[in-house]
Amino acid sequence: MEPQGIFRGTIPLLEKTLDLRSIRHNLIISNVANMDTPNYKAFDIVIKEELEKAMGAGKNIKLEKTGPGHLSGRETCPGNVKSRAAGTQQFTMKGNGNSVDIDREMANLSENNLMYNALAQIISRKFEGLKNVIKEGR
Amino acid sequence: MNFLDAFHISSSGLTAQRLRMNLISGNLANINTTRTQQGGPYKKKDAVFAAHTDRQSFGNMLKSQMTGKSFEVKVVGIIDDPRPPQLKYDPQHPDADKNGYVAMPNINLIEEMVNMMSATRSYEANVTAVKATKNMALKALEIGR
Repeated sequence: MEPQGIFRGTIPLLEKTLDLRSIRHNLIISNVANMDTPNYKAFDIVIKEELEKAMGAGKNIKLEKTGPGHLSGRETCPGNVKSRAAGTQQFTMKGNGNSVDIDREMANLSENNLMYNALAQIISRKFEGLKNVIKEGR
Repeated sequence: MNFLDAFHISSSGLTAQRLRMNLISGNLANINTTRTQQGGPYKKKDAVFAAHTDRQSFGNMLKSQMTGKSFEVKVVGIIDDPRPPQLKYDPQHPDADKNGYVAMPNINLIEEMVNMMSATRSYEANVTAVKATKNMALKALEIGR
């Protein structure tokens, strides 16, 4: 069900991105856990192309312009973006057929962690803003 | 919940690396052991790891379809290194054969030290991953506070 009213717009988008970040976190840590497993191939999430597909699906909502100087906005809610796991680079630097590059994985881990925290903060602020409006700023 | 999976994956990695560390310590401690219960010198032990995903139940199948692949580490066995024992000339040794050679364990000290460093680093990487997971879970709980 599509959310209605004040919960429409950025909140479902942020929810979805948090979801995808936590999926990516799981993939990264399974790569880290399996860094010494023979023949294990590293995985990462592929969302860019799916996101582009969803953005280009013609679901654009035009912002209403009440004055000639207003900018046109583009807002989409990619609510059902699919994610899939795909192998990253398949060449290996180790003798046992394992393709986990630990430097890359740790960098991805901290990047993903930071982005998750940022998104959690944004969604938190969003709710704070709504609360402020509901309480009429008191 | 997604984060519980994350903790399980990292803890499987921690367990695997700790086991590897124990085996390395055992190898180092027994580097001069010439008598074992099976007879002959001590043999170098090594763990075999496999990426493991439990797809037996419907719930796990559904989860793997919805959230993508993620693998735990499973220790599938502990093997004896098949390399032959190192022969050392020491005719005074009680375990020497008739030519005066003693079969010493097939353990290479440098190899063990390198494996020990590798196990330590892998363990640390998994600890960092657990910390990151905890951090994310706590941040998620702060939403709407």
